[in-house]
Amino acid sequence: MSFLKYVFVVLFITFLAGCVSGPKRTPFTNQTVSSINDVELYNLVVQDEIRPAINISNVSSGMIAGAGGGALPALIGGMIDSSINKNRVRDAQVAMETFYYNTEEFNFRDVMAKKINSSIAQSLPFNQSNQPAEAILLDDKAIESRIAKLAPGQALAFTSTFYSFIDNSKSLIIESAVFVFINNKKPTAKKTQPIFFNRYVAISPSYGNGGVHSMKLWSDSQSKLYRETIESLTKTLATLITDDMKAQKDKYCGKPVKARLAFMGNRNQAKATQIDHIDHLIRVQDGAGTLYAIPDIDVSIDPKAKPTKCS
Amino acid sequence: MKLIKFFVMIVTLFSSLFCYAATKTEKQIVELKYEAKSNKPEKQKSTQKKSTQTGKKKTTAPAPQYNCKVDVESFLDLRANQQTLGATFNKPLISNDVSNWLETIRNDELIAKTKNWVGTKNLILKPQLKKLYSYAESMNIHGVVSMEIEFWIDGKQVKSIYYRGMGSKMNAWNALYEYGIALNYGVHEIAPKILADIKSTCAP
Repeated sequence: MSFLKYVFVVLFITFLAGCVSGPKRTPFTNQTVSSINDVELYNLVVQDEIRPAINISNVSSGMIAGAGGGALPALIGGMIDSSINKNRVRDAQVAMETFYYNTEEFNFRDVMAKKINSSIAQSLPFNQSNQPAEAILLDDKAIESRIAKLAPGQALAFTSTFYSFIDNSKSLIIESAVFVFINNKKPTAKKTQPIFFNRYVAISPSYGNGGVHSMKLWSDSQSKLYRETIESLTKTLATLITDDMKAQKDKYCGKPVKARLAFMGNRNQAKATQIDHIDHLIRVQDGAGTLYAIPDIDVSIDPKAKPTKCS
Repeated sequence: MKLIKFFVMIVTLFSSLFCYAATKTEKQIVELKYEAKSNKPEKQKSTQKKSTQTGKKKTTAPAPQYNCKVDVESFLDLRANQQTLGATFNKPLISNDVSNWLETIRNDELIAKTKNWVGTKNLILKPQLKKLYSYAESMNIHGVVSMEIEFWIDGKQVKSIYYRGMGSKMNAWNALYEYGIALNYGVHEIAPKILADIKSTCAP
């Protein structure tokens, strides 16, 4: 390995280690749920509109390929010249012009707020059905400040949702992270640990051949397909959250499968557990505990996998 | 080997600083400052220099005439989200001077480029800002601007055009001013289109 390659591998690993570490899945227990009698909700949607499927930039696809020969040229290329990515962005932008015009007034935050409010209300003592989704990302300090003000029995539910096109614009993906905190910070700890945390991902079926062709389908008839898919996926996502909060399970029991999951805008085959059907999608759980609702075409039986023991 | 270890330490330090900058928990105020795209004059060709040196007169093309007197109203800020300009890695991007930024765009891109026009038609432009946000994606920063401009001639609305620009730049330092630059690039993308539409509307 050349000296330059060695340096970039270290940079790459350090970057990932420093920036992409997050909390681990934490399910509810009988004890934690019964201790909550009032919930304050902060439902965050940072994005003002859906992002195009252009985040498969040189660098991120290199990262997904893993450290090694594939990552390095991509990383170096990304550092030296971002114009390749810029052109891709521009091309995608041109193709999506009509789509964005047709969806200019569509407010994803309103749709998401209704679903999240309903989901939290079904799982925890929360009864504010009209609470809007927020645009301002809370930093750690602001979250800690809110937690510190919680009285005994009160909890802060913090949700954060992202959405984008994926698979060359053939599909839509919506992802939410859900945290629940109570005021239980240990004096020596830097941050309060959540009493509940998990990620939830819903991916739509594919429409069209990808690129401009798919974008036309999303745009047609005042973006009817897009609006309907958002409505359906947010409903599924809310069900994933509600069911998981109620289940109080770390890992679900089911059939071992290989599933096309999503990471950093790319789809990758990974081992997962197929749980059941949810709406017209299949509910699977990956190794980290994240729950997905994905089309059945993206799930296949893993012949090498050993059957899981279900309690 | 010692050299490699030293280099690894330096790289680790810098990447840690980058991560610290990316995860530092403070509200981020973006100072928006619009700067029009610089139009550097092209270098004169050597043949032109020669002709000047030999005493030939310079010929300048006559300025095109457009049959409008153009008036530009102030931007209406119709963004659904007027609280933020998006977010960095885990910090909100807040700006207190969007209205000043819009006013500079109005002056530099619309008024300045049409101020000497004379004509029989009174064209009034009514611009409305619809979206304005910026975000980081892997090693890049993107800025999105969308606006609609109503064209009114002699008291009647003749058309309304939707413009959308996306500016992208490499995320060199994850500095706040870079988010502002990406937004400026977004405006640079649509400014020529707006001017072309004004010109076609005012064609003699």
